[in-house]
Amino acid sequence: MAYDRGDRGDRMEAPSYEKLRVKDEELDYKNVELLKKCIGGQGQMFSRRRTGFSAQRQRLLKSAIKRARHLGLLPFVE
Amino acid sequence: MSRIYEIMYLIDNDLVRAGWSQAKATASALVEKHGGHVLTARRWDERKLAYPIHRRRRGTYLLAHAELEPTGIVGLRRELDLAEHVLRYLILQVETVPEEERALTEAESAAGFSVPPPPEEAVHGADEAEEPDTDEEAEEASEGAVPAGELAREEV
Repeated sequence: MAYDRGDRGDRMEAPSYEKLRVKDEELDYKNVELLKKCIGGQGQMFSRRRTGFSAQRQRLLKSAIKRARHLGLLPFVE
Repeated sequence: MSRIYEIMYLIDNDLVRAGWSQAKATASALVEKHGGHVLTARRWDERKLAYPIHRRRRGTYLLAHAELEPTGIVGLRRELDLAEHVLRYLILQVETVPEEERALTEAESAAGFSVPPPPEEAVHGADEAEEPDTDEEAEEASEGAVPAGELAREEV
């Protein structure tokens, strides 16, 4: 049912995701199962908005994923 | 002042087929050569790689810990870069060696331990052009990666 959105006009809303339910396991490059949950269909890393991680944890995730990719455990692109 | 490092090697399956203990010994020797003292070394996994590395699609991972002077790192890296059968490596500094690693290393040196030979794969170098994805799926179904830790077996 259309109603007047006033100044919001055509602005679209950001998509909302379900955040990852990831337990507090150690973020290690060896933990491939956990890491796999944090990457998307094309191998890209999820943002903090998606993972729900704290800034510190997200940084650990980033380096874990990059190391795993270097070792051939995770893809760069799929 | 010595530090403790964690070293993960990605080893070419050809070397592993020739003999796992030789492969492990070769890797350990490189560390010792640069003043290191190997604390643990065990097979971490043999698996399909997420992307081809040096034209190979499968590889064996060796996880080791060693005590080493920081000055030795440079030489070790150089050596690993040149080693033909070491496809990738990762050296990290760690505070301590995790207990499970020591235990798993023990299990490997115990008698009766055997490592399944890596599955054969299609000739490297001949790919890129051919090999549609369906072939890879058939390969997937016929083997299963041995989970790390459940490796000790009797040889019949």
